[in-house]
Amino acid sequence: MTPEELNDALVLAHQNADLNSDSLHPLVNLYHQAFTLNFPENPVAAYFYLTNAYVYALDSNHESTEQLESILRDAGRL
Amino acid sequence: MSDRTIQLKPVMNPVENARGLPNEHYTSDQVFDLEKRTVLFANWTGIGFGKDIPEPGDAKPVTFLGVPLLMVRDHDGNVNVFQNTCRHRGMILVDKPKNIKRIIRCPYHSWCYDLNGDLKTTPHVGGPGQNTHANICPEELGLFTIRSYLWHDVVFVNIDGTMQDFEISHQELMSRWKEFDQPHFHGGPESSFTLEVNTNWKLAVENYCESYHLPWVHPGLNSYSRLEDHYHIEQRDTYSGQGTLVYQQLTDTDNNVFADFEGLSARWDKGAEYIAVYPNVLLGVHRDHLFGIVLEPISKDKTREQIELYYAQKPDDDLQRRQHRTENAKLWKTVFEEDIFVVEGMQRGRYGEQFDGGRFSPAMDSPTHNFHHWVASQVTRGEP
Repeated sequence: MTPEELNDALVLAHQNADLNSDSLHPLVNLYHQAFTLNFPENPVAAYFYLTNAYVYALDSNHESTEQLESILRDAGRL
Repeated sequence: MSDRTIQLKPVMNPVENARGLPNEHYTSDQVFDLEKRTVLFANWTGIGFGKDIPEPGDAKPVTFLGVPLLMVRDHDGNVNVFQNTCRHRGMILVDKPKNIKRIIRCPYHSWCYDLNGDLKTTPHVGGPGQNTHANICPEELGLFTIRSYLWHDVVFVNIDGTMQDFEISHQELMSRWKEFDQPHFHGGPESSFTLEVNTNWKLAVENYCESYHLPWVHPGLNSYSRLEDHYHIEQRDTYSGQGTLVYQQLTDTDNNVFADFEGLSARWDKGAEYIAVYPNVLLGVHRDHLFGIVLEPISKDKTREQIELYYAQKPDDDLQRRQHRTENAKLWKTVFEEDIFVVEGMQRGRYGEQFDGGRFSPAMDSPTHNFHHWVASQVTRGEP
């Protein structure tokens, strides 16, 4: 997925998010992809995206929550 | 003595020569606001029912007298109540009932709180991708917790936090109805209804407290439960109401009755009690069902009544039993609707400038006077 495609997918995923917290799962996956795309060349952007993935994972009780939390904590970001 | 204490002195007299609360307690925006703080925020006040948040993670926002509150069922089954306000920018956290699983996330900047109200994370608070800041201490920024207590599925809160514990405040009533401290199950959608009434909330309490009006306002009820079959219930500064000695169980088309609550003593075979738990919760107990009413004061002359019925057995899909519950709810709805013209009429009557609070029947109105006495004591608390 190119950065442009990822951006479009994120916009769409935000539009599709509703009161059902499972609808946040695509955001977790897409922000995690954005983290991977930017890490390690652009750590500011990378951890910005990872933070967003973590927040949506927390909100939706996503299975990756602990893993994302652990990465942020190890990086001194939490 | 303060002006208010002097004005309310006749209310504090014994019922034999007491007068009721002055008109302004029903018609004045200023007094409505005074009672909001001294009566409704300063005591254990009903704001809703646990049945509205049955599952872990269920959250329901409630705006009570302008205060945004959030009822949440945690993963241990307990009900917690928070101020529904983010500690960051004061944003409303949850604006519709929903299941929030494990986290309350503010929709503005995504500060996240767990179901105990603890601040879990503050994304980007230290700059993009940096989620901590030396000046932001999560331990100090949990949600404001509102003291709460669940009893007979009513969610009671003490908004200003000054009241003694619920179990101490209502020790006597909890003991009186201890036999009903057992599982009870909401009857389902047909056992739930709401009435909007053009009256001050106190008039709904006052009407509920007494049986004096039954012969004229509830002729159907009075045909088998006569005035002389009732007794007064009064506990100074806590509750008042009425009881009947001739409760008759509702039968269905095959003469079935609802299952009884377990282990009740013989006094409940034909006995039932209806008590106003001050300030705004009305409860009724019978051998085979309970009901709760939460009065939500909307304004000085508008009140919303939420009524919920509960049974000893979990409702199932059996059509006949469902119809039976529906009939019971209809019966109570009829009774409560019969009261509307009375409470609305008393509200309108209080715009008669010469009305002086009224005189109570010493024989019949003491539970109502008990409530007036309590309200007067609350609004003058701390005044000389």
